[in-house]
Order: sequence, then C-alpha cells, then structure tokens
Amino acid sequence: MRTGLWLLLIGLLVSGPALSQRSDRAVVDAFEGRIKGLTRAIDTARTVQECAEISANIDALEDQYRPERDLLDKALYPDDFVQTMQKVRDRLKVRQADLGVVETQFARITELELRVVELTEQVSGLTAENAKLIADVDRLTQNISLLGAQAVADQRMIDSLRTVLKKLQQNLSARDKLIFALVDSIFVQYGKPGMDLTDLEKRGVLAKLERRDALTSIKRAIAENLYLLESTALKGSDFAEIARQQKAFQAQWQGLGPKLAEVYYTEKRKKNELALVDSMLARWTAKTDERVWAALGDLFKEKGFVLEPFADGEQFTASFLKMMDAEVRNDRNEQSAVRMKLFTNFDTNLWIPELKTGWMPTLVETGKLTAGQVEQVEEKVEEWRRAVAGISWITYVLIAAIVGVLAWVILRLFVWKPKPAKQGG
Amino acid sequence: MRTAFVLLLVFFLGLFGCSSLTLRPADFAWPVEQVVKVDAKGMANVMRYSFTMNVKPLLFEETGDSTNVARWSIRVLRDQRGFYFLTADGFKHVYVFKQADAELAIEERILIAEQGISGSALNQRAPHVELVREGAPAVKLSPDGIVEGGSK
Repeated sequence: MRTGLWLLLIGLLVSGPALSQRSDRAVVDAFEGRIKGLTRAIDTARTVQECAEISANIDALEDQYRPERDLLDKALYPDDFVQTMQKVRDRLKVRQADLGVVETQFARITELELRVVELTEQVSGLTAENAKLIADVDRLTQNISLLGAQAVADQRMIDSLRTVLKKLQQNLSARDKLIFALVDSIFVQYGKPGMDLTDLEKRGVLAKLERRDALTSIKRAIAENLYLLESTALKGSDFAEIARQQKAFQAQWQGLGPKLAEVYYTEKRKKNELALVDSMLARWTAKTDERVWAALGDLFKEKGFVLEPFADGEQFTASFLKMMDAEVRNDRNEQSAVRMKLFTNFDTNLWIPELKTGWMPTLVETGKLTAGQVEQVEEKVEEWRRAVAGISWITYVLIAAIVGVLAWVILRLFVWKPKPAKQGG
Repeated sequence: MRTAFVLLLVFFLGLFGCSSLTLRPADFAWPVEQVVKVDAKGMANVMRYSFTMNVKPLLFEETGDSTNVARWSIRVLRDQRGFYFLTADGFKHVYVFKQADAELAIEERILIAEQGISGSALNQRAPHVELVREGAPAVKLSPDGIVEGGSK
C-alpha cells in the first residue's frame, strides 16, 4: 500500500510539469503509471482515510491531465480519458463497499483530505518561491560583498536585498503556518488524539505525513529560517518579527510533538527524526537569541549608549540597570543641563520609540524577558527621569523665588508708597 | 468496321475493369510513438499495432554493428500518410520508411545531429512528425526531410 502511494506521489511530482518540448509518449506513460498506482492503492486500502486520500488523488489526477484529454483519448486503448477515470472511481466504490465505509463519514474525510491536498500544494508553491528568493539573496549578497570591497556598493542594491529578505521572511512565516495546518488536518481526519489511535490508524497517519513530506517540510522550514538569520542585511527591527516567528513555530511544534511522537514511535527507525527536529529547533532558538540580543546591543550603541555585553534576558536586565544606576548617581558628575540632554536623547530616541513600544513587548511575548524584568527596567528609567527632573525643579523653584523677591522689592520701593499718617484732629 | 468497334469496346471495358479502387482519404497516423525493445535477433515487435520488423540492417547502418542489438530501444511513429519514422537515442538520423511487400523500404535518411541524438521522442503533429530532444529545439519532419526547426 505504502509503496503504491509513494509511487503515486513520485508520479505527481515528476510528471506534473508540462513542458513545451515534451514527449507525448512520456505524458501517456506517466498517466498510465499513475492509474496503475491508484489501482494498486485501491486494492490494498484498509481504512476510510486511505479511501478518502485515494479519492482526492483521483480528482487531482483528473484535474492535472484534463488539458491532455485529446491526446489521451486517442492514445488510451480501448478506453478514453473519461472512461479510464470512471473505471478507477468505480473500483474505489467497490473497495469502499467491501470495507463497509459509511458514505457520510467518507464525504467528511474526503473534504478534509482535499484540504490536505490544497495545503500541500500551497506549501510546495511557497517552497519553490522561497528557493528562488534564497537564490536572489545569495546573488545580491555576493554582488554587494564584491562591490563593497571596491567601496561602491550601491544603496539600491542593498535596498533590493532588504526587499527580497522581507519577502522571504513573510513567505517563511506563511509557510510555517501552512505546514502546521497541514499536519493538523491529517490528524483531524481521524477525529481523536494521537494516543487514542489504533496501530493501524497510527501507521495510516505516519504514511500520510510521509507522503505529504510533513517532517521534511518542518526541517526545511527551520533550515531556511536559520538561513535568514545568517543574513547580515537584517536590521534591528527585523529581529523582533523573527523572534516572534520563531516562538510561534516552537509553540506549534511543542503542541504537535506528543501527537507525532505517538505516531512516529510506532517505527523504530523513525524515532530519530523527531529528535533531529528538536535539535534543529534548539539550534534555531539559540541562533535567534544570539542575533536578537546582538541586535539590541547594536541598537544601544547606535543611539550612543553602551551596555555591558549581554546574551540573555537576565544579563540584559543587569547591564541595563547598571547603566541606569550610574546615570541616577551621576557618576560622571555632569552638569544638570548635560544630564537632562542625555536623558532626553535616551527618552525620545531610544526608550519611547524603540524599547518601550517595540522591543520590550516583543521580548516579553517571546519569553526572552519576564514581565518582572521589564518592570524593573521601567522603574529604573523613571528613577533616572526623576533624578534628572528633580534638579531642574529645584532650580526653577529657586529662580521663581528670586524673581518673586525682586518683584516684591520693586513693588515695595516704587509702586506701593505708604499712605501718609492721618493728622490727629 | 464492326470488328474494330467490338475490339474498342472490349479494350475500354477491360481498362475500367483493371483500374485500381482508391479509398481516400486514409489517415494512418498513430496518436503516440511506440517505444519498442529490440530482441537478441534484432526483431522489434510493435504490439499495439501488431507488426514486427527486423531492425538489424537499420542498426548496422547507423552504428556499423549488427551483433549487440538487444540493448536498443527503437522509437517508431507512423504519420498521416502512412510513412514510418524510426529513430533511437544515440542515432544521428531519423529514418523514414514506407510499407512494401512484407518489408519496409527506406524513403529518406534525415540527418539530425552528427554527435547523436539524446533524450529523443517523436510526437504526432499532423501533417508532420515532431522530433524533440534534449538541449535542442524541436524539429518538424516530413517524409522528405526537415520542414522546420533544423539546419537542414
């Protein structure tokens, strides 16, 4: 059964593209091969899910080869295209009847299977698109690197690279979601959690996951996300989204993990595959952390604030608080005006636009900082604000007091002349 | 005079009686080529159309070897007019044959590539036959030679 369906899938991948210079014989042979594969699959189907998958494959085959109908009508003998498809469908119906498949259940599962087919096509489409984007990124990066060596790297070229990277990032994110939706749709067909599946159903799920290249897609997704992280053209703001994406992927993988384990552990040789994904994911997590913290450090440097090196949330908090403490204590003994200027620079260029509204929520959302650490950071910023604003307030009070006294003296001397004492009468 | 008239009448009646009966049009085109494995005796059996031919002379003509014939797969396609087009991967030519009395007689040898054809396939593109191959544009052929797409 599995071999038959594998042949089907290979046929689907290999025979699909209709080239302008193609052999009619090859088209006919591929079609006939697919029909044979379907026939074998029908004869060995044992569950309603397998029947539903075959039904979806028959539909897909018919759609794929409809443009070749004229050729197939002439080449197939003694049947034509329509008769050939009908015969396969009739054979499936007979098999379903033999297996006692209930029509309503079959219809529902077929619908889910069609969704799986649709998702598979979307994943394949995005994978092909991503391969082109990655080739573009490689080419542009190489060009920029060559031109950079000659100090003539063109800004337009850098912008092009960034545009391609942005598109790649969006595609990767979209494909990640599709892959997990695809895996989920396969499990939904069985209508129960992985642990409640029978051995036969587990083998069925495993075969479907393999035919849809589910684990390969997951591994490819991680590898391509790692590739994206390697690009030197990414900016600080990109990493917030990348970290979010990585966290979402990890959460979805953790959700699916137990289900997949139930299925994959039915075969000894498959056990390592899940472990491999875990290890790849760990590498992606570590790399994302490394790049995120480095990007945050670079952001501080870019804005003129130097923090001690940090590589995780705890170190960042400690480093940030240390810098803030130094400012609050005014270790450099700076004038209040200078301190005020520095704080204003921090507040308007770094804290409000970048950290408070961008990085902090993302770091909390992605689990890199705790809410408590953010609270500490925010409190310290407020402390610095008060320290700087406090000096200024006293100054203003003093100035106001002096101005008040001067005003009182002037009024006393020139405006408020004391009334002459009444003559005694 | 009467004898002359009778003789003339007999002549014309004989002429009509001997004239061939023609069924026209007839379309001999196969929808797709047949790829047939040559056996150790050099015979190629086109099962779909129930005919067999000895391709040893063809292989000898093309390769100079008529002993190791079993490794070959011959591509055969019949065009609308009934000519047989034969070629194979590694051949330099496409051969055009016409049917004769228990034999196929050569009509034309069409040179395609001196270094040999690879990834070849024959397609029915009536009224012509199309040859597709790897790394080169498709060529349209007629029993007389290249019609379109080749250097010849």
